[in-house]
Amino acid sequence: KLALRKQGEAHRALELLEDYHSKLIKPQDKQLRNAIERVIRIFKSRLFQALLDIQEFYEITLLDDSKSIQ
Amino acid sequence: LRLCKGAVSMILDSLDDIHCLTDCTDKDRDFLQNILEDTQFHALLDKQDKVGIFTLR
Repeated sequence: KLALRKQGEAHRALELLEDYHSKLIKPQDKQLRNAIERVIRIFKSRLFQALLDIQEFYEITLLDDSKSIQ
Repeated sequence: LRLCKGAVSMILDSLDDIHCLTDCTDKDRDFLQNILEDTQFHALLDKQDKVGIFTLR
């Protein structure tokens, strides 16, 4: 399923970003660490999850002619 | 504004550096690059930047 694959990918991306964040400990990495923190928050946010779900719902219904919105 | 997209761009620009600084694999780097360059993902970032909830931090 598309939705499950996307969720799996988002989860894996989150894991990688958290791993990078924990390894970038030098002072000169601060700006990059901040950017990673921001993107981690995006991935984690409920809004992001909700938008992902909405987007998938529209994709699935728009691409599948056999389904119609009641 | 455009804070979400800015953060993503910065990570994309730095992926090779991150690759060197950490011991991540080529596969991990390529995977993350694909995710962060994904057009649907950017469509969502645009929405988030428009809503602006992340610009308050």
